[in-house]
Amino acid sequence: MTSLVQQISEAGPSVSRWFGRGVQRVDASPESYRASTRALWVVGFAFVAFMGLMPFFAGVGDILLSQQAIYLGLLALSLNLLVGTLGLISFGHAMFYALGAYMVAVPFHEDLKILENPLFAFAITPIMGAVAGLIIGLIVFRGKELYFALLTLGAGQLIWAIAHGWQSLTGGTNGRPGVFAAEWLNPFTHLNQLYWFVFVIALACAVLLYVITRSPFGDALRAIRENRIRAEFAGLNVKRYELAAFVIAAMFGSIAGGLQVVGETQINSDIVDWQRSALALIAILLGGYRYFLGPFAGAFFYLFVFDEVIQRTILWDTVLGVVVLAVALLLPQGLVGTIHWVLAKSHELVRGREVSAEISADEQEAVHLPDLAPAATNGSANGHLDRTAASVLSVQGVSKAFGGLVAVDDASIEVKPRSIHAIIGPNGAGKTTFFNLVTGMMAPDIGNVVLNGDDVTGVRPFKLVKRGLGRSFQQTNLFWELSTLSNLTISDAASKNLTRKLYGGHGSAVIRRSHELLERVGLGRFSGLDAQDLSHGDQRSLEIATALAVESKLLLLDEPTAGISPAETKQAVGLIKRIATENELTVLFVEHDMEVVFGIADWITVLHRGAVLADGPPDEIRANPAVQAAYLGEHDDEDEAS
Amino acid sequence: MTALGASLEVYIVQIIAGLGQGAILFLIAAGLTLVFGALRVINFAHGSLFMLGAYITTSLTPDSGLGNAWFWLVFLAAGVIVAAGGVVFEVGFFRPIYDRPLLTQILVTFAFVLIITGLAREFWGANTFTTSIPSALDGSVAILSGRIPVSNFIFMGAAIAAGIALWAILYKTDLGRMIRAAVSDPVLLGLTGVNVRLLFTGVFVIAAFFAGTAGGIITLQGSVNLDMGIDAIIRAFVVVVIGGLGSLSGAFIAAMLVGVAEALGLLWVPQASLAVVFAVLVVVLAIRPEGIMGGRSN
Repeated sequence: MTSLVQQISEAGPSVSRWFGRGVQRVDASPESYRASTRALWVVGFAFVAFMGLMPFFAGVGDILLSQQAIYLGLLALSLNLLVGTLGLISFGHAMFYALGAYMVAVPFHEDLKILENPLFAFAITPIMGAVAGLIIGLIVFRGKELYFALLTLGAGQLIWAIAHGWQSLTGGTNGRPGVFAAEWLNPFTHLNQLYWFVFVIALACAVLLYVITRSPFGDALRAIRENRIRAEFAGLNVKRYELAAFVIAAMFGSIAGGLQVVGETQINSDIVDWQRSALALIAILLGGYRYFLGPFAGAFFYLFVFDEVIQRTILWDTVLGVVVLAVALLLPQGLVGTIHWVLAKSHELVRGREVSAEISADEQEAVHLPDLAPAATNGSANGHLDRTAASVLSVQGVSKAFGGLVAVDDASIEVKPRSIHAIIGPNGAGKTTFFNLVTGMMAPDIGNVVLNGDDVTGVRPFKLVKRGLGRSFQQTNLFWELSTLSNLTISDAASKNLTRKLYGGHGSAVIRRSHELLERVGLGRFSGLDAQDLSHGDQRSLEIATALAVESKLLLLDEPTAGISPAETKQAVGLIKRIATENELTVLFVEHDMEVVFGIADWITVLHRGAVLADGPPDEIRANPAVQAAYLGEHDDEDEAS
Repeated sequence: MTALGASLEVYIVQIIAGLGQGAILFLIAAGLTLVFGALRVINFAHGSLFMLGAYITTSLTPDSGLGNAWFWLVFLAAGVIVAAGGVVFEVGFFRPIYDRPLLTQILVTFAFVLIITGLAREFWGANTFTTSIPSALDGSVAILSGRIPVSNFIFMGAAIAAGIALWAILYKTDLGRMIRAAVSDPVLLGLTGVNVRLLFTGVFVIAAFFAGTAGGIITLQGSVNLDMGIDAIIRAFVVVVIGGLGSLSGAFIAAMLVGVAEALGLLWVPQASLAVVFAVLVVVLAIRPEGIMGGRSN
C-alpha cells in the first residue's frame, strides 16, 4: 500500500486526469461554438451592466446580496487563474482573502490605530497578498498535484486557525465590527455609493485579470496546464511561472477580502475558513472554469439560489447539495458553458448547419503527403560530416542506476556538428534513460554532459533549450488543447523570454515566424485546429516544428516514427532530413525502425544493457558481429537490420 | 519535585490523551487512504459517514443507556448500517464519475457533504447530542498527576484492532491481494478478468464500515453534532497527506502524530491548537513532499 502519486504523475499528461479533455460539446458543431462566441460576450456584457445598474431598480436586499456575490466572484475569478488557466487546484485560496480582510480590519483596531482610514489599508492589500502568496507559494509548491492541493488546504487552515485563535488581534469569531471611516462611503447614508465602489474595484480587477489571462504570460500558463514537460522543453521555467501565477492569484484574492471588509464594515474568523475556499471552487465549477466570467456567474448563481433556498427550507444544505450534484453530473461545462451551448444550438437552427470548414482526416492525409526527396539510400545525410570537428554534444561516462538496476552504465558518445546520429539498441538497452540524462530530466549518478563545450550535467531542460537543444518524445508531446499555431507561438516566445509580458499579445514577428514554420512542415492549413485533432503523423511534424520554433541547433528525437503508419514514417523521415539540411542542424535520435536508421543516419551508436556496445558509421555497425549477437539474442526484436 | 517534573507529567498525560484521539483519526483516515488508493477518488463525504455512524449510535441507544455488552453490538451495527449506505452511495454516484475529471469528483463528494449535513439536521436537529455511556466504559484512569478517560483506551484498542484487521485483509486474503493490485494498476487488474467495479464497491464498503464504527465509539467521548463530519475530514486529510496518499502504515503513524500534536497544541496555544496540526503538516511536507510513507516503491 505505498504511494500512488508516482504512478499518477507518470500516467501521461496530467491535464486529462484533472479536467478531462476539453469542454463537452454536446452535438453543436465547433463552428457554431466559434460563431456564437460573440453572442456570448454580449450576454456577458449585459450581465456586467445589469450588475452595475442594480441600485437603480433592485431592492436593498438584492443589492447587498449582489455585493456579496461580487466579493465571492472576485475571489473565484482570481482562483480560476490557477484552476482554469494553469490547471492547479487550490483548496486554500481563502487564506489570501483572509489576509486581505484582516489587512483592512486589524490596523483599524482601537489599540493599534495604525491606519485610521481603512481605505489606505485597503490600498495595501495587493502588496500584502503578493508577499503572502510568495512565501506560502514557496512552501506549497513543494508538493505536486494532489499534494499541492492538500498542502494549500493545510496552509489555508493554518491561517484560519491563527485568525481564529489570536483573539486579541483579530477578535476571533466575534470579529471586528465597525471598520469604517470614509464618510463618502458610509453605508448608512450612501448604500449605492458603497455598492458602486465595490463594483468598480471588482470590475477593474476583472479587467486586469482578463488582460493577464490573454497575455503571452497567460499563454505560457495554458501551455503548462496542457503539458508541463513540453512547456519545460519550450524553454519555460515552469516552477517560476507557477509561482508567479500563484502570487498574482493571491494578490487579487487579497483585494477581494479587503473589499469585503470595506463593504460589510466588519469581519469575523468564520468568513475566512475553508468553506470559503470550497465556495470559490464551487462558484468556478458552477459557472464553468473555461470561461472568463464563469466564476462570477457561478458566484451570483450560488448566492442567489442559496438566498432563495435558505428562506424556504431547513433542508437548505441538502437542496444546495442536490443542485451542485446536478450541475457536476449533468452540466460539466458549467452554466456559462451551457449558455454557450444554447447559443450555438440556436445559431445552428437559424443559419442551418454550416458545412464544416474543418478538414476531414482523409483530406488531411491527401493534402500534403510529402513531395520530399525520398530518403537517401545510405550514408551521410548532409554530405559534409566531419568527425574531427569539435563535438556539439559530448557525453562522458554517464551512469544512472534505479535501485539495483543499472539503466545506463558508463556510456560515452560524441555527436559531431551536422551529423545525423542514431542511437539504437534492443528493448531495455537504456536509450530513453540516456536521453533523459542528456536533456536534463534526470541527473546522472556520475559522468558529464557537455554541450558546445560547456558542462551542462543536470542542468534543467528550460535552460538547455536556450542553449539550442530541442527534444521530441517517444509519445507525442504537444499542447493538446491549444491550436497548432499556438503550439508554435508559445514555444517561440518562451524560448526568447517573451512570455514574461503580462499584457497585450504575441509580437507580430513571433506570429509571422510561426506561420512560416507551419508552412514549412506542411501544416499551414491547420493553423486553427487544436493539436489533438491533427492526425498522428501531423502531430509528429508539429513536434519537430516546435523544436525549430525554439531555434534548436541540436535536435534530440526519441523514436520519431513510433506508432505511425508507413506512409507517415516516410513523411517524417523526409521532413527530418530536409529540416536538418536546410537549418544545418545536428540530429541525435533513438529509433527502432532499422530502415529509418540506416536510411538517414551517418553515425550510429549501439547501446546494450546501458553500455555502449559499438559506435561507428552505418556500414561498420551493420557488419559488427557483436551488434548482430545482441539483436539476435533478443526475442522481442523488431524490424531486423537488413 | 521541581516544576520541570510536574510539567513533564502533564506532557505525558497529554500525549496519552493525544494518542487516543489519534486512534480515532486512524479509523477514519484508514478508509480515506484506502479509497483514494484503490478508487483514486478524494472523498470529502468520508467525514460525513463518520458523523452518520455517531448519530445512528445515539439513535440506537435508549435514553436509559445501554448495558455494557450492548454497546459493542450497537456500535458495530452503526458501522454495518453506514457500510450499507456506502453501497448505495458508491454504486449510485461514485461509479458514474470514475472516469470523470477530478474536479467533478471533488464536487460530487462535496455535494454529499451538504446533502448529508442537511438530512442529519432534519432527522436529529441542530443541537449537540450526548449519549449515556455504559458504566464500565465511563470514568477515567489515574495516570501520574492526570486522569485519562477510559474511552481513550478503547479508541486505542479499536485502532489497533482495525489496523490488524485491515492488515490481515490486505495481506492475507485474496480480496486484499486484489485491492493491492487495484492500488497499483486498476486497468491492468481489469484486464485479468477481475470485476474491478465490484472490488471498488468492496473497498468502499470496508472504508465506510470503519468510518461508521469510528463514529459509533466516539459517542463514548460525549457530544455528537453537525460539525463533527467536517472537523474529522479535515484532520483525516492532514493524516492521509502526512502519511503518504494510499499508505496504511503511513496513515497510522501520521494519525498518532496529528493526535499528539493537537493535544500538545491545546497545552501551548489553547485557542489555536489546530494551527499546530497544520504547522506539522507544512513542516512534514516541506521535508518529505510525498508524505512519510509516500513515494516508496511498491
